[in-house]
Amino acid sequence: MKIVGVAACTVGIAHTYIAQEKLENAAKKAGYEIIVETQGTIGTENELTREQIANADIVILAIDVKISGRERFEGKRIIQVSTDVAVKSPNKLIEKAKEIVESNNESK
Amino acid sequence: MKNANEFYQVISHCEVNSRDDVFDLISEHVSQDSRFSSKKELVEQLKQRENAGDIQIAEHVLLPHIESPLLKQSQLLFLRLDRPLRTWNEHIENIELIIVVLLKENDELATKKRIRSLMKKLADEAFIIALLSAKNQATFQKELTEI
Repeated sequence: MKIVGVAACTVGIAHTYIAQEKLENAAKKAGYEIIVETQGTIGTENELTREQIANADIVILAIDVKISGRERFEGKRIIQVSTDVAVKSPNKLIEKAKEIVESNNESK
Repeated sequence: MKNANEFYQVISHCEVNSRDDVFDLISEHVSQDSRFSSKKELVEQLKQRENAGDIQIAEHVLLPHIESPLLKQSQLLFLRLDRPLRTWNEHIENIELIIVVLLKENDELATKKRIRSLMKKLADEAFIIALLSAKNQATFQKELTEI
């Protein structure tokens, strides 16, 4: 499974980066590919390419604020949660992403 | 016991019994490095951030943080509590470590990157456990050598 995501919190210095790291670690532990863009006080980092988004099975938005470039994900399966969900329950979030992708594949 | 560093301070043996005590302690340690007109102003900012989203990042650990033009310099405070704070609010309890991030608005990129580096470390459960289980100031300090 290929996952792309965006992490962004209100101040943009704390939860953004913890959420990114937690999501990356949880996905890798589960054997999935993941790239998480951060939109924080430093600016946008790890910016997702069009190709990465196109190839992704699912998008995880761990965000507490409006993000720039949300339209890039139109037509993709999206899970949107607050950053604290990604910080506190990253494994469950990745599991949920897997379930959504699998149920979608089965219904095809 | 306080350990001074240009970037962060580790304050051990904090005796606090309430959320307000914690805010008092934070105010005490930033007052010299800020342009906040009153303690209340800083506390209000911290509360506003807390209202916007959960500040608990792991069991026993809180991460209050703000970005403000009233701060003269960015600063990290590690408050190590002598006894766990039983109740922070109706959802958060048994707090042992409070990491306060005070970011000066528009601070230089290098400072923001240092804070980002610590945040990424805080995503590592083993690092959190090491901080929580550090027996003394020196051991705790050792865990922070990379930031």
